[in-house]
Amino acid sequence: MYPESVKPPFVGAWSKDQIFIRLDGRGNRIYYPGETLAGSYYLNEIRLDSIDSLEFSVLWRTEGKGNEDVGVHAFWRLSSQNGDWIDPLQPGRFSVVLPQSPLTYNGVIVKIHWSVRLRVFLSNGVQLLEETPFYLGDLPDMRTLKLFTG
Amino acid sequence: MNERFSPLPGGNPFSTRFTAPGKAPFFFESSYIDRIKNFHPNKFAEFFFSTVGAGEDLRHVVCLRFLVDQFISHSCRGQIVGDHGSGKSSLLFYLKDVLVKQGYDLFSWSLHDQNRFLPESFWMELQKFLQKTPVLLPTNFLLPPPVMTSEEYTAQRREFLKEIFPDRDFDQEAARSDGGETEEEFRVSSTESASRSPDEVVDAKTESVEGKAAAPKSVGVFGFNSAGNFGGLPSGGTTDLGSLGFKKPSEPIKFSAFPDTETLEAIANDDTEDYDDVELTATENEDSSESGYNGDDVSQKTLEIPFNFDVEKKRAFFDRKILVFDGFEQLSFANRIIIRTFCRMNHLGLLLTSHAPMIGVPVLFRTIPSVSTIRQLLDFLLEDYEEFKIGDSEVETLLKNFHNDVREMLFSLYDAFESFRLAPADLREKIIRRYPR
Repeated sequence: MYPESVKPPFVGAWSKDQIFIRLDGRGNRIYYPGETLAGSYYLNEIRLDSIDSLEFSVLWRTEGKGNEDVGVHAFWRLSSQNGDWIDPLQPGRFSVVLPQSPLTYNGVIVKIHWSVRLRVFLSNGVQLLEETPFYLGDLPDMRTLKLFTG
Repeated sequence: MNERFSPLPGGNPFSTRFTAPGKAPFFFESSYIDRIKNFHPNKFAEFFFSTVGAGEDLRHVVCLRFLVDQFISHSCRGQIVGDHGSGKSSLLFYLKDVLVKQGYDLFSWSLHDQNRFLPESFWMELQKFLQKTPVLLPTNFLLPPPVMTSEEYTAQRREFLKEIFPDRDFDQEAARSDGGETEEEFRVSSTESASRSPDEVVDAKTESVEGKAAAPKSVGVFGFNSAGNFGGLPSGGTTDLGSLGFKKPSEPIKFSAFPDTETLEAIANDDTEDYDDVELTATENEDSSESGYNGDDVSQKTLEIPFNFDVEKKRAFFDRKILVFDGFEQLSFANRIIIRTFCRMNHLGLLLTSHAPMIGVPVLFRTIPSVSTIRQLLDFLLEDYEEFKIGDSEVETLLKNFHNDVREMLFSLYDAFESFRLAPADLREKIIRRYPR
């Protein structure tokens, strides 16, 4: 419906169900600093010869009224031109040790979100993007805390 | 295993992550595309049928392509006019996107509050942007001197020359010049010397230094100095005026404000100076390959105009570069005139956004937010938050309260959504009704 250059605002709608990311561990997606985040990704309806490269990253970003900041904690790139084998029929695995900070924060003015992002570059120039959010730490929601503490 | 594709529970659809320019589409009024259809039916058909099947929003793309077409038809000059927060930067983002796809080189600069003057970094960045221009382009005259060493400057010039004359091996020529085979090339040019070969000119200069032959008749000393500016003799340079044919006047020159006729006649009949015959040497590319480049002395070269340089190609080179300013109204009046003149003299395109129209630049579009466009924007942002619904009456009140400033309106909705997100279900309806404020 919208031009390709426009990103839909929410995760999950970008790759049109062609990419799945699953995180191992607890169902609440809460991980603690220093813990190992592991998971796998699946590529659906993508031919083997149509994949040019694949980028996987674990990152955090701020959200609020001001400018957006992004920090990349881990990054891998697989490229078929460099001889890396990218098989869409087999799930890919990833594992990374999470840092001590910044913790996920749900403030009113500013928020910090962590997510696992997978970007697939197809040989026809199309990019597919998928993000799965998770929590680093379990800081309480400041607004909720205020409500209960008065 | 986790559930898939669940959005972050703490996300706010009105944060700048989703509302900044380029993150949400610019929504045009439906009347605008109707006007294109009625007044430019051929262009509408062209844009429409070339867009169908591309999987993009037709109205959005047709309007953008029409605006870009208008911009190009006005010699790549245009401006977007609108109030604070009316969507000028968003529209500019998509126009830039279309221009880049059409092969234009853009130099973007955003001006913020109280930026009355362009900083030095602007000129530095602009110089980097125009580095690919050939040496003879007039941009070299207007740009401030580059802050770089002589070696860096020489290396850059070498790259430029390689791009313009790919057949020539400048590295070898540079190595040859380092060996001392060639001489400094502040060329002595005259009607007589132009007809001679470069070797003869060098011989004549050598003889004149030794005092065995008469000096060349006339002198034209031009070139690019070490700072990259075009000019005459270098200040404090090592050029020997005698070797170049200058004659020291026997008597000091007398200046008078109102010279009488006798003085003028005396000057006309004076045979000691032959400055009337001075002309710049214009050489073909093949000739310039012999003497046009001398390695480290490239910045001290004669101005050689390659006549067989493709003029159309050169024009295309100029016309494909566009300067883009966001917030042009921040600049002082003098700076705005300077930029406009600079772009016109250098045949650069100019695309800007401003609160008030700039004289001499055609207005492409006036951004005026309306209820229908804001309705479309809110529907886009709240696609996954169906419970947070804002009616048209609230939108109308919001626009009125914020004086058509959509940016401030979205900030207010950000706060409203934060209140809404954590409120009990029975209070949510009140929160939505409480806003706008």
